[in-house]
Amino acid sequence: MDLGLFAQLTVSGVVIGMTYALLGVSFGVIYATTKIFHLAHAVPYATAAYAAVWASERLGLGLGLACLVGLVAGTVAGLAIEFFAYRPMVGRNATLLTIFLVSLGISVAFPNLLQIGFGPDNKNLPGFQNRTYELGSITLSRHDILSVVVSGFLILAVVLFVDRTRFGRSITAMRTNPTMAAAVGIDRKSVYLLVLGIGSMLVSVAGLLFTLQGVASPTMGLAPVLTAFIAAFLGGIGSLRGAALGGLLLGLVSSWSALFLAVDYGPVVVFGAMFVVLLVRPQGLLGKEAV
Amino acid sequence: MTTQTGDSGVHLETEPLLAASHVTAGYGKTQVLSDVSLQVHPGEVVGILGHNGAGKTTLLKCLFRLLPLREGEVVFGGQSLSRRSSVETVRAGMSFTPSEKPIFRDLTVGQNLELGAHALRDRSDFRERLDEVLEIFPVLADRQQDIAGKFSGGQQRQLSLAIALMARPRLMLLDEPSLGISPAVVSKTFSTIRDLARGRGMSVLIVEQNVPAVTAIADRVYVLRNGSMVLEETGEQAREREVWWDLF
Repeated sequence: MDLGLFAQLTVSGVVIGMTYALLGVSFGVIYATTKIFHLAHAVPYATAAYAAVWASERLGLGLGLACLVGLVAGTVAGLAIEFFAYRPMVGRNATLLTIFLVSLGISVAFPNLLQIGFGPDNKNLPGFQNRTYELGSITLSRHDILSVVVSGFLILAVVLFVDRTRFGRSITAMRTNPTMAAAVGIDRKSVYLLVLGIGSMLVSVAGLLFTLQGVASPTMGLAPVLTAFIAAFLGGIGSLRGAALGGLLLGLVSSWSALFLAVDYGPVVVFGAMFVVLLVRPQGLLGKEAV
Repeated sequence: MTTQTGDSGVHLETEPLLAASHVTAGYGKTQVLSDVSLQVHPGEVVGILGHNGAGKTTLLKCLFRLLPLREGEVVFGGQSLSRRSSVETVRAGMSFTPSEKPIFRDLTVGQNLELGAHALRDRSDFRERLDEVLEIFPVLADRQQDIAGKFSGGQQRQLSLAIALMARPRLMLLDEPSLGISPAVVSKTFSTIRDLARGRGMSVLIVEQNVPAVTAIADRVYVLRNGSMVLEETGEQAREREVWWDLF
Protein backbone atom coordinates (compact mmCIF):
# COMPACT_ATOMS: atom_id res chain seq x y z
CA MET A 1 0.00 0.00 0.00
CA ASP A 2 1.18 3.50 -0.83
CA LEU A 3 1.41 5.06 2.66
CA GLY A 4 1.61 8.59 1.24
CA LEU A 5 -1.62 8.05 -0.66
CA PHE A 6 -3.23 6.48 2.41
CA ALA A 7 -2.26 9.49 4.54
CA GLN A 8 -3.64 11.89 1.93
CA LEU A 9 -6.92 9.94 1.67
CA THR A 10 -7.19 9.87 5.47
CA VAL A 11 -6.79 13.62 5.73
CA SER A 12 -9.26 14.13 2.89
CA GLY A 13 -11.61 11.70 4.60
CA VAL A 14 -11.44 13.68 7.84
CA VAL A 15 -12.15 16.91 5.95
CA ILE A 16 -15.15 15.44 4.10
CA GLY A 17 -16.17 13.52 7.21
CA MET A 18 -16.32 16.63 9.37
CA THR A 19 -18.71 18.23 6.87
CA TYR A 20 -20.77 15.03 6.84
CA ALA A 21 -20.68 15.09 10.65
CA LEU A 22 -22.06 18.63 10.61
CA LEU A 23 -24.81 17.51 8.24
CA GLY A 24 -25.54 14.45 10.39
CA VAL A 25 -25.83 16.47 13.59
CA SER A 26 -28.00 19.07 11.82
CA PHE A 27 -30.44 16.38 10.70
CA GLY A 28 -30.18 14.28 13.87
CA VAL A 29 -31.05 17.09 16.26
CA ILE A 30 -34.29 17.68 14.37
CA TYR A 31 -35.30 14.09 13.64
CA ALA A 32 -34.52 12.71 17.10
CA THR A 33 -36.79 15.25 18.78
CA THR A 34 -39.62 15.76 16.31
CA LYS A 35 -39.53 12.31 14.58
CA ILE A 36 -40.23 14.28 11.39
CA PHE A 37 -38.27 12.96 8.43
CA HIS A 38 -37.25 16.46 7.45
CA LEU A 39 -36.34 16.11 3.77
CA ALA A 40 -37.02 19.85 3.43
CA HIS A 41 -33.71 20.24 5.26
CA ALA A 42 -32.41 20.85 1.72
CA VAL A 43 -34.20 24.21 1.74
CA PRO A 44 -32.04 26.02 4.35
CA TYR A 45 -28.91 24.51 2.78
CA ALA A 46 -29.70 26.01 -0.62
CA THR A 47 -31.28 29.18 0.80
CA ALA A 48 -28.09 30.02 2.70
CA ALA A 49 -25.99 29.62 -0.43
CA TYR A 50 -28.31 31.62 -2.69
CA ALA A 51 -28.85 34.36 -0.10
CA ALA A 52 -25.08 34.76 0.30
CA VAL A 53 -24.62 34.95 -3.47
CA TRP A 54 -27.48 37.46 -3.70
CA ALA A 55 -26.05 39.60 -0.89
CA SER A 56 -22.65 39.54 -2.57
CA GLU A 57 -23.90 40.30 -6.10
CA ARG A 58 -26.83 42.64 -5.42
CA LEU A 59 -25.84 44.34 -2.19
CA GLY A 60 -22.11 44.31 -2.87
CA LEU A 61 -21.36 42.90 0.57
CA GLY A 62 -18.00 41.38 1.38
CA LEU A 63 -17.66 37.64 1.82
CA GLY A 64 -18.07 37.64 5.61
CA LEU A 65 -21.23 39.75 5.62
CA ALA A 66 -22.66 37.87 2.65
CA CYS A 67 -22.17 34.59 4.55
CA LEU A 68 -23.86 36.12 7.58
CA VAL A 69 -26.85 37.06 5.42
CA GLY A 70 -26.86 33.51 4.07
CA LEU A 71 -26.71 32.03 7.58
CA VAL A 72 -29.64 34.14 8.78
CA ALA A 73 -31.69 33.47 5.65
CA GLY A 74 -31.09 29.70 5.85
CA THR A 75 -32.02 29.56 9.53
CA VAL A 76 -35.15 31.63 8.95
CA ALA A 77 -36.11 29.33 6.05
CA GLY A 78 -35.91 26.31 8.37
CA LEU A 79 -37.93 28.06 11.07
CA ALA A 80 -40.53 29.07 8.48
CA ILE A 81 -40.99 25.43 7.45
CA GLU A 82 -41.64 24.50 11.09
CA PHE A 83 -43.94 27.46 11.69
CA PHE A 84 -46.01 27.38 8.51
CA ALA A 85 -45.95 23.69 7.55
CA TYR A 86 -45.12 21.30 10.39
CA ARG A 87 -46.71 23.12 13.31
CA PRO A 88 -50.22 23.37 11.82
CA MET A 89 -50.03 19.73 10.75
CA VAL A 90 -48.85 18.49 14.16
CA GLY A 91 -51.59 20.60 15.74
CA ARG A 92 -54.16 18.78 13.62
CA ASN A 93 -52.70 15.38 14.60
CA ALA A 94 -51.37 14.67 11.09
CA THR A 95 -49.47 11.39 10.87
CA LEU A 96 -45.69 11.43 10.50
CA LEU A 97 -46.12 9.94 7.02
CA THR A 98 -48.32 12.85 5.96
CA ILE A 99 -45.82 15.35 7.35
CA PHE A 100 -43.02 13.51 5.55
CA LEU A 101 -44.94 13.80 2.26
CA VAL A 102 -45.32 17.54 2.79
CA SER A 103 -41.60 17.76 3.56
CA LEU A 104 -40.84 15.81 0.40
CA GLY A 105 -43.10 18.15 -1.57
CA ILE A 106 -41.28 21.21 -0.23
CA SER A 107 -37.88 19.72 -1.05
CA VAL A 108 -39.01 18.95 -4.62
CA ALA A 109 -40.76 22.29 -5.22
CA PHE A 110 -38.05 24.51 -3.73
CA PRO A 111 -35.39 23.95 -6.45
CA ASN A 112 -38.01 24.99 -9.01
CA LEU A 113 -38.68 28.18 -7.07
CA LEU A 114 -34.94 28.90 -6.98
CA GLN A 115 -34.77 28.31 -10.72
CA ILE A 116 -37.65 30.72 -11.32
CA GLY A 117 -36.11 33.35 -9.03
CA PHE A 118 -32.42 33.04 -9.90
CA GLY A 119 -32.33 31.15 -13.18
CA PRO A 120 -30.99 27.67 -13.91
CA ASP A 121 -27.31 28.65 -14.03
CA ASN A 122 -24.84 27.81 -11.30
CA LYS A 123 -23.85 30.72 -9.06
CA ASN A 124 -20.46 31.55 -7.65
CA LEU A 125 -19.82 33.16 -4.30
CA PRO A 126 -16.76 35.29 -4.97
CA GLY A 127 -14.15 36.47 -2.53
CA PHE A 128 -12.76 33.32 -0.95
CA GLN A 129 -9.00 33.15 -1.40
CA ASN A 130 -8.18 29.49 -1.32
CA ARG A 131 -4.62 28.28 -1.21
CA THR A 132 -2.94 24.98 -0.55
CA TYR A 133 -0.33 23.86 1.96
CA GLU A 134 2.09 20.99 1.49
CA LEU A 135 2.85 18.91 4.56
CA GLY A 136 5.17 16.19 3.32
CA SER A 137 3.08 14.04 1.01
CA ILE A 138 -0.15 15.60 2.20
CA THR A 139 -1.81 18.52 0.50
CA LEU A 140 -4.28 20.58 2.50
CA SER A 141 -6.23 23.64 1.41
CA ARG A 142 -7.34 26.66 3.41
CA HIS A 143 -10.92 25.58 2.68
CA ASP A 144 -10.19 22.14 4.15
CA ILE A 145 -8.89 23.68 7.37
CA LEU A 146 -11.84 26.08 7.55
CA SER A 147 -14.31 23.19 7.04
CA VAL A 148 -12.77 21.08 9.80
CA VAL A 149 -12.44 23.94 12.30
CA VAL A 150 -15.91 25.42 11.72
CA SER A 151 -17.67 22.03 11.66
CA GLY A 152 -15.81 20.80 14.73
CA PHE A 153 -16.51 23.98 16.66
CA LEU A 154 -20.23 23.99 15.83
CA ILE A 155 -20.70 20.29 16.61
CA LEU A 156 -18.98 20.74 19.98
CA ALA A 157 -21.03 23.85 20.73
CA VAL A 158 -24.32 22.10 19.98
CA VAL A 159 -23.38 19.00 22.00
CA LEU A 160 -22.44 21.20 24.97
CA PHE A 161 -25.61 23.28 24.57
CA VAL A 162 -27.81 20.17 24.64
CA ASP A 163 -25.87 18.52 27.50
CA ARG A 164 -25.22 21.47 29.77
CA THR A 165 -27.95 24.08 29.42
CA ARG A 166 -31.53 24.21 30.67
CA PHE A 167 -32.89 24.72 27.16
CA GLY A 168 -30.72 21.92 25.85
CA ARG A 169 -32.04 19.60 28.53
CA SER A 170 -35.58 20.42 27.45
CA ILE A 171 -34.63 19.06 24.02
CA THR A 172 -33.40 15.81 25.60
CA ALA A 173 -36.53 15.62 27.73
CA MET A 174 -38.84 16.08 24.73
CA ARG A 175 -36.81 13.57 22.70
CA THR A 176 -36.76 10.83 25.32
CA ASN A 177 -40.16 11.24 26.98
CA PRO A 178 -42.61 13.70 25.38
CA THR A 179 -45.42 12.98 27.88
CA MET A 180 -43.20 13.66 30.89
CA ALA A 181 -41.78 16.70 29.14
CA ALA A 182 -45.31 18.09 28.85
CA ALA A 183 -45.97 17.10 32.46
CA VAL A 184 -43.11 19.28 33.72
CA GLY A 185 -44.25 22.17 31.57
CA ILE A 186 -41.92 21.95 28.59
CA ASP A 187 -43.63 23.54 25.61
CA ARG A 188 -43.45 21.24 22.58
CA LYS A 189 -43.83 24.09 20.09
CA SER A 190 -40.90 25.99 21.58
CA VAL A 191 -38.68 22.90 21.55
CA TYR A 192 -39.58 22.08 17.95
CA LEU A 193 -38.78 25.66 16.95
CA LEU A 194 -35.49 25.45 18.85
CA VAL A 195 -34.34 22.22 17.18
CA LEU A 196 -35.42 23.41 13.74
CA GLY A 197 -33.48 26.62 14.39
CA ILE A 198 -30.33 24.77 15.49
CA GLY A 199 -30.52 22.19 12.70
CA SER A 200 -31.21 24.80 10.03
CA MET A 201 -28.36 26.98 11.26
CA LEU A 202 -25.94 24.04 11.07
CA VAL A 203 -27.06 22.93 7.61
CA SER A 204 -26.85 26.55 6.42
CA VAL A 205 -23.20 26.63 7.49
CA ALA A 206 -22.65 23.38 5.56
CA GLY A 207 -24.26 24.97 2.50
CA LEU A 208 -22.05 28.04 2.80
CA LEU A 209 -18.88 25.95 3.24
CA PHE A 210 -19.78 24.03 0.11
CA THR A 211 -20.47 27.19 -1.91
CA LEU A 212 -17.18 28.83 -0.89
CA GLN A 213 -15.39 26.26 -3.00
CA GLY A 214 -18.17 25.01 -5.28
CA VAL A 215 -21.20 26.63 -6.84
CA ALA A 216 -24.79 27.21 -5.80
CA SER A 217 -27.34 25.36 -7.90
CA PRO A 218 -31.10 24.83 -7.46
CA THR A 219 -30.81 21.13 -6.55
CA MET A 220 -27.70 21.54 -4.40
CA GLY A 221 -29.48 20.60 -1.15
CA LEU A 222 -30.79 17.17 -2.12
CA ALA A 223 -27.59 15.07 -1.97
CA PRO A 224 -26.36 16.59 1.34
CA VAL A 225 -29.70 15.76 3.00
CA LEU A 226 -29.28 12.12 1.98
CA THR A 227 -25.78 12.20 3.46
CA ALA A 228 -27.14 13.84 6.59
CA PHE A 229 -29.70 11.17 7.26
CA ILE A 230 -27.24 8.34 6.51
CA ALA A 231 -24.78 9.87 9.00
CA ALA A 232 -27.50 10.35 11.63
CA PHE A 233 -28.87 6.81 11.32
CA LEU A 234 -25.42 5.25 11.05
CA GLY A 235 -24.32 6.95 14.24
CA GLY A 236 -27.56 6.28 16.08
CA ILE A 237 -30.67 8.42 16.19
CA GLY A 238 -30.90 10.28 19.45
CA SER A 239 -27.15 10.61 19.85
CA LEU A 240 -25.58 13.80 18.55
CA ARG A 241 -22.13 12.33 19.18
CA GLY A 242 -23.27 9.29 17.19
CA ALA A 243 -24.40 11.45 14.26
CA ALA A 244 -21.03 13.22 14.29
CA LEU A 245 -19.16 9.91 14.45
CA GLY A 246 -21.36 8.50 11.68
CA GLY A 247 -20.54 11.44 9.44
CA LEU A 248 -16.84 11.23 10.15
CA LEU A 249 -16.75 7.49 9.42
CA LEU A 250 -18.71 8.00 6.20
CA GLY A 251 -16.13 10.53 5.06
CA LEU A 252 -13.23 8.26 5.91
CA VAL A 253 -14.78 5.15 4.34
CA SER A 254 -15.71 6.94 1.13
CA SER A 255 -12.22 8.46 0.94
CA TRP A 256 -10.40 5.20 1.68
CA SER A 257 -12.51 3.40 -0.90
CA ALA A 258 -10.53 5.31 -3.52
CA LEU A 259 -7.63 2.97 -2.68
CA PHE A 260 -9.53 0.09 -4.22
CA LEU A 261 -12.36 1.51 -6.31
CA ALA A 262 -12.94 4.25 -8.84
CA VAL A 263 -14.18 7.52 -7.33
CA ASP A 264 -17.55 7.01 -9.06
CA TYR A 265 -18.27 4.17 -6.65
CA GLY A 266 -18.25 6.52 -3.64
CA PRO A 267 -22.06 6.49 -3.13
CA VAL A 268 -22.10 2.68 -3.31
CA VAL A 269 -19.51 2.54 -0.54
CA VAL A 270 -21.43 5.06 1.58
CA PHE A 271 -24.75 3.21 1.33
CA GLY A 272 -22.94 -0.11 1.69
CA ALA A 273 -21.35 1.07 4.95
CA MET A 274 -24.76 2.12 6.28
CA PHE A 275 -26.27 -1.22 5.26
CA VAL A 276 -23.55 -3.27 6.99
CA VAL A 277 -23.56 -1.22 10.21
CA LEU A 278 -27.35 -1.18 10.52
CA LEU A 279 -27.48 -4.92 9.82
CA VAL A 280 -25.17 -5.56 12.78
CA ARG A 281 -26.40 -2.70 15.02
CA PRO A 282 -29.91 -1.61 13.98
CA GLN A 283 -29.80 1.16 16.58
CA GLY A 284 -26.69 2.66 14.95
CA LEU A 285 -23.17 2.98 16.33
CA LEU A 286 -23.96 4.98 19.49
CA GLY A 287 -27.74 4.65 19.54
CA LYS A 288 -29.58 2.88 22.33
CA GLU A 289 -31.62 -0.22 21.80
CA ALA A 290 -35.38 0.34 21.89
CA VAL A 291 -36.88 -0.65 25.24
CA MET B 1 -69.78 24.81 48.17
CA THR B 2 -69.43 21.31 49.58
CA THR B 3 -69.69 20.36 53.19
CA GLN B 4 -68.16 17.02 53.88
CA THR B 5 -65.98 15.35 56.47
CA GLY B 6 -63.40 12.83 55.31
CA ASP B 7 -61.97 10.38 57.79
CA SER B 8 -58.81 12.44 57.86
CA GLY B 9 -60.80 15.04 59.71
CA VAL B 10 -60.51 17.52 56.87
CA HIS B 11 -63.69 19.54 56.91
CA LEU B 12 -64.41 20.52 53.32
CA GLU B 13 -66.34 23.73 53.73
CA THR B 14 -64.34 25.25 50.95
CA GLU B 15 -64.58 26.18 47.32
CA PRO B 16 -63.21 23.33 45.23
CA LEU B 17 -59.61 23.70 44.09
CA LEU B 18 -60.44 21.77 40.95
CA ALA B 19 -63.88 21.53 39.40
CA ALA B 20 -64.50 19.69 36.16
CA SER B 21 -68.02 20.12 34.79
CA HIS B 22 -69.69 18.04 32.11
CA VAL B 23 -66.42 17.07 30.42
CA THR B 24 -66.67 15.24 27.13
CA ALA B 25 -63.49 14.19 25.33
CA GLY B 26 -61.95 11.54 23.11
CA TYR B 27 -59.49 10.69 20.37
CA GLY B 28 -60.41 11.15 16.72
CA LYS B 29 -63.89 9.78 16.15
CA THR B 30 -63.86 7.84 19.42
CA GLN B 31 -65.56 9.50 22.35
CA VAL B 32 -64.00 8.30 25.61
CA LEU B 33 -65.53 10.57 28.28
CA SER B 34 -69.19 11.59 28.44
CA ASP B 35 -70.48 14.35 30.70
CA VAL B 36 -67.95 13.74 33.49
CA SER B 37 -67.98 16.06 36.49
CA LEU B 38 -65.80 15.96 39.60
CA GLN B 39 -64.38 18.17 42.31
CA VAL B 40 -61.22 18.15 44.39
CA HIS B 41 -61.01 20.35 47.49
CA PRO B 42 -57.91 21.82 49.12
CA GLY B 43 -56.03 19.18 51.12
CA GLU B 44 -58.23 16.37 49.84
CA VAL B 45 -57.10 13.00 48.50
CA VAL B 46 -59.54 11.88 45.82
CA GLY B 47 -59.44 8.53 44.06
CA ILE B 48 -60.87 7.66 40.68
CA LEU B 49 -61.38 3.94 40.29
CA GLY B 50 -62.36 2.07 37.18
CA HIS B 51 -61.63 -0.82 34.91
CA ASN B 52 -59.09 -0.85 32.11
CA GLY B 53 -60.26 1.46 29.35
CA ALA B 54 -62.83 3.24 31.50
CA GLY B 55 -61.31 6.61 30.55
CA LYS B 56 -59.35 7.33 33.73
CA THR B 57 -56.10 8.37 32.03
CA THR B 58 -58.03 10.33 29.39
CA LEU B 59 -59.74 12.23 32.20
CA LEU B 60 -56.40 13.15 33.81
CA LYS B 61 -55.04 14.27 30.45
CA CYS B 62 -58.09 16.50 29.99
CA LEU B 63 -57.71 18.00 33.44
CA PHE B 64 -54.02 18.70 32.80
CA ARG B 65 -54.78 20.11 29.34
CA LEU B 66 -52.84 17.49 27.43
CA LEU B 67 -56.06 16.63 25.61
CA PRO B 68 -58.62 19.19 24.43
CA LEU B 69 -62.12 19.17 25.83
CA ARG B 70 -64.93 18.66 23.36
CA GLU B 71 -67.45 19.94 25.85
CA GLY B 72 -67.46 21.08 29.44
CA GLU B 73 -65.12 23.15 31.54
CA VAL B 74 -62.20 22.72 33.94
CA VAL B 75 -61.78 25.35 36.65
CA PHE B 76 -58.65 25.31 38.80
CA GLY B 77 -58.10 27.74 41.65
CA GLY B 78 -61.07 29.77 40.48
CA GLN B 79 -59.75 30.16 36.93
CA SER B 80 -60.89 28.35 33.83
CA LEU B 81 -58.20 26.13 32.30
CA SER B 82 -60.27 25.22 29.29
CA ARG B 83 -58.23 27.30 26.86
CA ARG B 84 -54.87 27.05 28.60
CA SER B 85 -51.86 24.93 27.68
CA SER B 86 -50.26 22.31 29.92
CA VAL B 87 -47.38 24.76 30.54
CA GLU B 88 -49.83 27.28 32.01
CA THR B 89 -51.47 24.48 33.98
CA VAL B 90 -48.11 23.65 35.63
CA ARG B 91 -47.56 27.31 36.43
CA ALA B 92 -51.05 27.52 37.91
CA GLY B 93 -50.02 24.82 40.42
CA MET B 94 -51.03 21.46 38.99
CA SER B 95 -48.68 18.52 38.39
CA PHE B 96 -49.22 15.35 36.39
CA THR B 97 -47.37 12.09 36.86
CA PRO B 98 -48.05 9.57 34.08
CA SER B 99 -48.46 5.87 34.82
CA GLU B 100 -45.79 4.66 32.44
CA LYS B 101 -42.34 6.22 32.05
CA PRO B 102 -42.93 8.77 34.82
CA ILE B 103 -39.25 9.81 34.81
CA PHE B 104 -36.56 10.75 32.31
CA ARG B 105 -34.68 7.45 32.24
CA ASP B 106 -31.62 8.70 30.32
CA LEU B 107 -30.95 11.61 32.65
CA THR B 108 -29.48 11.70 36.13
CA VAL B 109 -31.61 12.03 39.24
CA GLY B 110 -30.38 15.62 39.65
CA GLN B 111 -31.30 16.48 36.06
CA ASN B 112 -34.74 14.90 36.54
CA LEU B 113 -35.34 17.05 39.60
CA GLU B 114 -34.12 20.13 37.78
CA LEU B 115 -36.63 19.44 35.00
CA GLY B 116 -39.34 19.23 37.63
CA ALA B 117 -38.83 22.95 38.18
CA HIS B 118 -38.51 23.74 34.47
CA ALA B 119 -41.75 25.70 34.12
CA LEU B 120 -41.03 28.05 37.03
CA ARG B 121 -40.46 31.66 36.06
CA ASP B 122 -38.66 32.47 39.29
CA ARG B 123 -35.93 29.91 39.93
CA SER B 124 -34.16 31.80 42.70
CA ASP B 125 -35.38 29.33 45.34
CA PHE B 126 -34.45 26.23 43.37
CA ARG B 127 -31.92 25.06 45.98
CA GLU B 128 -34.49 25.43 48.73
CA ARG B 129 -37.02 23.41 46.75
CA LEU B 130 -34.43 20.73 46.05
CA ASP B 131 -33.49 20.43 49.73
CA GLU B 132 -37.15 20.21 50.65
CA VAL B 133 -37.78 17.38 48.17
CA LEU B 134 -34.61 15.50 49.16
CA GLU B 135 -35.72 15.69 52.78
CA ILE B 136 -38.93 13.88 51.81
CA PHE B 137 -37.05 11.35 49.67
CA PRO B 138 -33.63 10.99 51.32
CA VAL B 139 -32.80 7.96 49.17
CA LEU B 140 -32.42 10.35 46.22
CA ALA B 141 -30.04 12.71 48.00
CA ASP B 142 -26.92 10.56 47.62
CA ARG B 143 -27.80 9.40 44.14
CA GLN B 144 -28.21 12.65 42.28
CA GLN B 145 -25.49 11.75 39.79
CA ASP B 146 -26.96 8.31 39.06
CA ILE B 147 -28.82 7.63 35.83
CA ALA B 148 -32.49 7.41 36.76
CA GLY B 149 -33.24 4.51 34.41
CA LYS B 150 -31.09 2.20 36.54
CA PHE B 151 -33.35 2.63 39.58
CA SER B 152 -35.80 -0.05 40.74
CA GLY B 153 -39.51 0.41 40.02
CA GLY B 154 -40.16 1.69 43.54
CA GLN B 155 -37.29 4.16 43.44
CA GLN B 156 -38.44 5.40 40.03
CA ARG B 157 -41.89 5.95 41.51
CA GLN B 158 -40.37 7.96 44.37
CA LEU B 159 -38.39 9.98 41.88
CA SER B 160 -41.55 10.65 39.85
CA LEU B 161 -43.23 12.08 42.95
CA ALA B 162 -40.11 14.12 43.72
CA ILE B 163 -40.13 15.56 40.17
CA ALA B 164 -43.75 16.63 40.63
CA LEU B 165 -43.01 18.18 44.02
CA MET B 166 -40.22 20.38 42.63
CA ALA B 167 -42.91 22.69 41.21
CA ARG B 168 -44.64 22.84 44.64
CA PRO B 169 -48.03 21.94 43.17
CA ARG B 170 -51.31 22.65 44.89
CA LEU B 171 -52.79 19.61 43.17
CA MET B 172 -51.00 16.42 42.12
CA LEU B 173 -52.58 14.28 39.43
CA LEU B 174 -51.24 10.73 39.75
CA ASP B 175 -51.95 8.13 37.10
CA GLU B 176 -51.77 4.61 38.55
CA PRO B 177 -48.86 5.14 40.94
CA SER B 178 -49.03 1.45 41.91
CA LEU B 179 -48.17 0.29 38.39
CA GLY B 180 -45.04 -1.83 38.15
CA ILE B 181 -44.10 -1.87 41.83
CA SER B 182 -44.30 -4.58 44.47
CA PRO B 183 -47.20 -4.64 47.01
CA ALA B 184 -44.89 -3.60 49.87
CA VAL B 185 -43.67 -0.60 47.89
CA VAL B 186 -47.25 0.26 46.87
CA SER B 187 -48.17 0.58 50.52
CA LYS B 188 -45.15 2.79 51.23
CA THR B 189 -45.79 4.95 48.16
CA PHE B 190 -49.41 5.54 49.09
CA SER B 191 -48.42 6.37 52.68
CA THR B 192 -46.04 8.98 51.29
CA ILE B 193 -48.83 10.40 49.11
CA ARG B 194 -51.16 10.57 52.11
CA ASP B 195 -48.47 12.26 54.23
CA LEU B 196 -47.83 14.83 51.51
CA ALA B 197 -51.50 15.73 51.45
CA ARG B 198 -51.90 15.80 55.23
CA GLY B 199 -48.62 17.52 56.00
CA ARG B 200 -48.60 20.12 53.24
CA GLY B 201 -52.27 20.71 52.64
CA MET B 202 -51.76 19.57 49.09
CA SER B 203 -54.60 18.02 47.10
CA VAL B 204 -54.12 14.73 45.30
CA LEU B 205 -56.20 13.15 42.57
CA ILE B 206 -55.25 9.50 42.02
CA VAL B 207 -56.42 7.33 39.17
CA GLU B 208 -56.09 3.64 40.05
CA GLN B 209 -57.22 0.09 39.49
CA ASN B 210 -55.79 -0.94 42.85
CA VAL B 211 -58.92 -0.45 44.97
CA PRO B 212 -57.50 -1.24 48.45
CA ALA B 213 -54.51 1.05 47.97
CA VAL B 214 -56.66 4.04 47.02
CA THR B 215 -59.49 3.54 49.48
CA ALA B 216 -56.93 3.24 52.30
CA ILE B 217 -55.94 6.88 51.90
CA ALA B 218 -58.78 8.58 49.99
CA ASP B 219 -61.12 11.17 51.47
CA ARG B 220 -63.46 10.68 48.55
CA VAL B 221 -63.78 8.19 45.71
CA TYR B 222 -65.32 8.29 42.26
CA VAL B 223 -65.92 5.29 40.03
CA LEU B 224 -65.65 5.74 36.28
CA ARG B 225 -67.22 3.15 33.98
CA ASN B 226 -67.19 3.33 30.18
CA GLY B 227 -66.40 7.03 30.27
CA SER B 228 -69.12 8.06 32.74
CA MET B 229 -69.06 8.63 36.49
CA VAL B 230 -71.24 6.00 38.13
CA LEU B 231 -70.44 6.56 41.80
CA GLU B 232 -69.20 9.18 44.22
CA GLU B 233 -68.80 8.38 47.89
CA THR B 234 -66.64 9.24 50.89
CA GLY B 235 -63.48 7.36 51.69
CA GLU B 236 -65.17 5.89 54.74
CA GLN B 237 -68.04 4.52 52.66
CA ALA B 238 -65.59 3.15 50.13
CA ARG B 239 -63.60 1.35 52.81
CA GLU B 240 -66.77 -0.29 54.10
CA ARG B 241 -67.85 -1.42 50.66
CA GLU B 242 -67.27 -5.14 50.24
CA VAL B 243 -68.24 -5.62 46.61
CA TRP B 244 -66.77 -3.54 43.82
CA TRP B 245 -67.16 -5.78 40.82
CA ASP B 246 -70.73 -4.68 40.10
CA LEU B 247 -69.44 -1.13 39.68
CA PHE B 248 -66.62 -2.00 37.25
